[in-house]
Amino acid sequence: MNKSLLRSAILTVSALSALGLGFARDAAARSPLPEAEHATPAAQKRFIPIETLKTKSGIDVWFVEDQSLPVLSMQFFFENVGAAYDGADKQGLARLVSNTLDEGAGAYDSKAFQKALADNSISLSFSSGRDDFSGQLKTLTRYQDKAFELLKAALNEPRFDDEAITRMREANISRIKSSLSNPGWLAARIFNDQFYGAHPYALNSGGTISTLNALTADDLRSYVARSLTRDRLHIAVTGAINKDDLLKAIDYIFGALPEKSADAPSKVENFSWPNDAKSILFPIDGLPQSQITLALPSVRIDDPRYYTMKLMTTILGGSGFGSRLMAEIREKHGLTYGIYSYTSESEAAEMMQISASSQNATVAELLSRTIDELKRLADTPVSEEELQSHRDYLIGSMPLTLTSTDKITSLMQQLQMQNLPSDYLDHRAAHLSEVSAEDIQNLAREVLDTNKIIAVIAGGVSADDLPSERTGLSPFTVVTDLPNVE
Amino acid sequence: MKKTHIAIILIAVIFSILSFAVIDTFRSSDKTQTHKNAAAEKVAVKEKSFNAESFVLSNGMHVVLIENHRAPIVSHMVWYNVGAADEDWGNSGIAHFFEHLMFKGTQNMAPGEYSKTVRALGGEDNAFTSQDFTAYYVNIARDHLPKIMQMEADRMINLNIPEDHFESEKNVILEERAQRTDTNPTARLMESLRATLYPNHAYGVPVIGWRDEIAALTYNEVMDFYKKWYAPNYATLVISGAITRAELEPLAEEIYGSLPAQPTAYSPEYDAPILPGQKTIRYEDAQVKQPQFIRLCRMPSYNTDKDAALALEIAANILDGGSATRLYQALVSEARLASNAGLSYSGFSEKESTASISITPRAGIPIENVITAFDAVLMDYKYKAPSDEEIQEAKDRMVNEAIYARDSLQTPAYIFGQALNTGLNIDDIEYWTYDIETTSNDAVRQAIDYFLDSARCVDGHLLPEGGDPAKTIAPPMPTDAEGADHE
Repeated sequence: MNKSLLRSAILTVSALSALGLGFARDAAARSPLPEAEHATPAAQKRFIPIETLKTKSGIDVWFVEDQSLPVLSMQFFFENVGAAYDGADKQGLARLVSNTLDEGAGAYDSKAFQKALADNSISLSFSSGRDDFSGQLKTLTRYQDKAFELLKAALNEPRFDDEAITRMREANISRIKSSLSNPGWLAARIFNDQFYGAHPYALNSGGTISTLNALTADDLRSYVARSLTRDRLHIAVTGAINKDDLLKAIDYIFGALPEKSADAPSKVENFSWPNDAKSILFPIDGLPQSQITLALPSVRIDDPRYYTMKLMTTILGGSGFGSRLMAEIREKHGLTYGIYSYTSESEAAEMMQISASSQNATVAELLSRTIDELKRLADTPVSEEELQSHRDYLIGSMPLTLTSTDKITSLMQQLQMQNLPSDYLDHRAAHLSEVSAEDIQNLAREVLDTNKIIAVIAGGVSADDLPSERTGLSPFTVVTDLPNVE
Repeated sequence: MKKTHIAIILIAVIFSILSFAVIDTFRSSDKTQTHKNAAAEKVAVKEKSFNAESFVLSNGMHVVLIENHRAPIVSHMVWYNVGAADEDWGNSGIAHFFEHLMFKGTQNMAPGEYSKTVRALGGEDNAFTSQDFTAYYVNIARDHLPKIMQMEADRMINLNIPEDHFESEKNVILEERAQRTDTNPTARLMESLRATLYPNHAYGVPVIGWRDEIAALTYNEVMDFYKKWYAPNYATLVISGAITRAELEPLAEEIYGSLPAQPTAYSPEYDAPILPGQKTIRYEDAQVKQPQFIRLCRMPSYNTDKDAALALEIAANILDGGSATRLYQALVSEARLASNAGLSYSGFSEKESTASISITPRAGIPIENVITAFDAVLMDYKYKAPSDEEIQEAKDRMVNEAIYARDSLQTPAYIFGQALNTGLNIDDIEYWTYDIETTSNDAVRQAIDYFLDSARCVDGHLLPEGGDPAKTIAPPMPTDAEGADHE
């Protein structure tokens, strides 16, 4: 792992906005969009001039050529082989593979591989989400040949030496134990378990202590054989390289991967929203504050009402200080340091979440004022002025996503992960402009249904202080079991 | 993976103590010595990394511009050379409290209107406070820059905060302290460690402030702080993005240059004696499940000793420049005593800097064993000093990072803002890579002595209730490093 100045600078910057001093603003930077100034040969202006290419051996790649710095960023993912496919008895498998893939490959043992990365200032890492398994490569162009060689080796000839697996396994176990003192992590674990129930998304993507201990090198090898196949692969590249060299490099790195696997898992089933509201409290004795998560239904990204959902979420709590929850709960009443709403779109589920923390004595008031804000969106149309300012924000802030080679590549990968076309962002402003106050109110009536809220709280608050008449939520059930951790 | 995790822990640690000296970056220019380092040496080239422009407005306000025309946007930052270290004793948290109040309205804008306006223009704004400075930033389309400058200039001198907003914001800050520190055992330990490391000094006081002192702050105290410190002669404007100097200079002079300067203000100065002896804080808490060892050490900063800071940055990179370097290799890969280990040092600090070490013992390994092993890494560096080749590899890694730093809108602005507010100048940043390359290898080898002076350091043991599980559960001590099993 290449722990670089750049990395620490980036972490610093994100730490500043996420957990730095100052206002915690939502780190989840809103999506991008308006027209940028990249000139393209075509008549119409593109937000990002993405070229969709195909290599000789038939691999697709999205590419933005950018010669402004001698830097190259490549990201890729294999779809639908993420943690949701680990299975209950092998939780953490995709994660452990992602940690171990750069721990030795081909002729390089772990130290030699890491040293080759560091000596050439190459950043290479792998990661696994619920749905997908991803890789991120960043290099100076003068070291790109070495970078391609190392990536090819990691994907095609990972060693999975026992020493490396044990080291990564133990690092994951100590990560889990450290997380046990983090109320936000506990709240998220309980939420996933309570919300998803029997669906594979309820499992712990990072593994449990016992499943991690049981994973073997053979598990990792068979994961690679069935998962890292070309039929699942999506690649995006930004940087200072010409098209021919890029296409050759892609074939060199990925061309030898199997086209597909007979053992491939079938896609997880779509999750359906629970019929009843549910409120769960996970007590942490002695904690002065509590962590709150509320979940509500949303719409899929290919639903025509998706832009309405996006605007509604932004108005509610998606734009930090410009939004209603922040104004009401933080600025007016001082009940929290930060409260945010955001949508998430996975392969099998979508939802809107609201998250905040509050000192124990004010949790009930925060909840009831939040419920009031949900009702207000359903009961009263937003003003044209408020709608316009949030629309302007969503449209006007899009170029802020184009400030680095990495960010441009990430943006392309997000589109690919959502199965969206490469010109999607070119039309986003127009779609957002069509959303009316009436659309928002109609959608609010449908999805902001307080009888469907799933609420999870972890912290020092007592269930006695959370009666329905004070919170506006269904009665809280106390849960003390923390599943899929040990 | 492994190291990302560590980096995040370290940064979380550092932020939780609310000090701010994390960017492992740049520095230096007065190096006249040539690299008489190793054989087969490449020639260090003295060229600038960022080609920043700088000028001073008629009222004394400094301006730095890093042009970047990749997208039609700018990052606008105003840095005030005032932070938590400038607070009067007993008024901890006032600098940070004040940072929040800067969003609470002026004679011309309602509370909250600043951020709402930025949002509607498609921008993002925020602010942060450290021991040494306070900074406010907006990232936004270049066309809106004049409007942002006008609003920022307005709140520099015209702040007008309703008293009820002062009280509700105090609750917000107490919530922030609860979220950041009171619910986080590592952050609570860090407060104890800092207070022990810097006795009688502001660097030992958390930036966010002690809870009781935040609660006791009054409206008048906070407004006096504003009048004393918020003035153009204490401010630096840093702009990164799509604008030229010819465009920026008249705009800055018109909007910021016309603001009245304030008389020179003085901060309280306190000595920070080094308490003699070895200092260890054992903190047991029911919230903790994973033991952790943390060591903080007082170090020179670029501002107090530039040559020492350069050598220390390189030494830190030799010790922890990724998982192929000494610390991780010794403790995690070879001795198998730790599941993670990290070390960080940054020279950006007005007074002394603080290096931090964080080690997670492997299950079944007592915390004392990892301390012994870490001290052995330091002794190994001293007595089997790094070769010219090993030092050159670290220098190369650091120099390459300067290129990556340019691949960002905000990173260069942070680097310059941080440097100029901790006693450095523009050339210290521009020629930092040259200074790194020309730092003598002997200085790098000697820099280890700073880590070996135990009086300069304080150790923290973060432990579960009941003490170190490796001892209380008492598995048989392994006779070799492989022996311990993990539950």
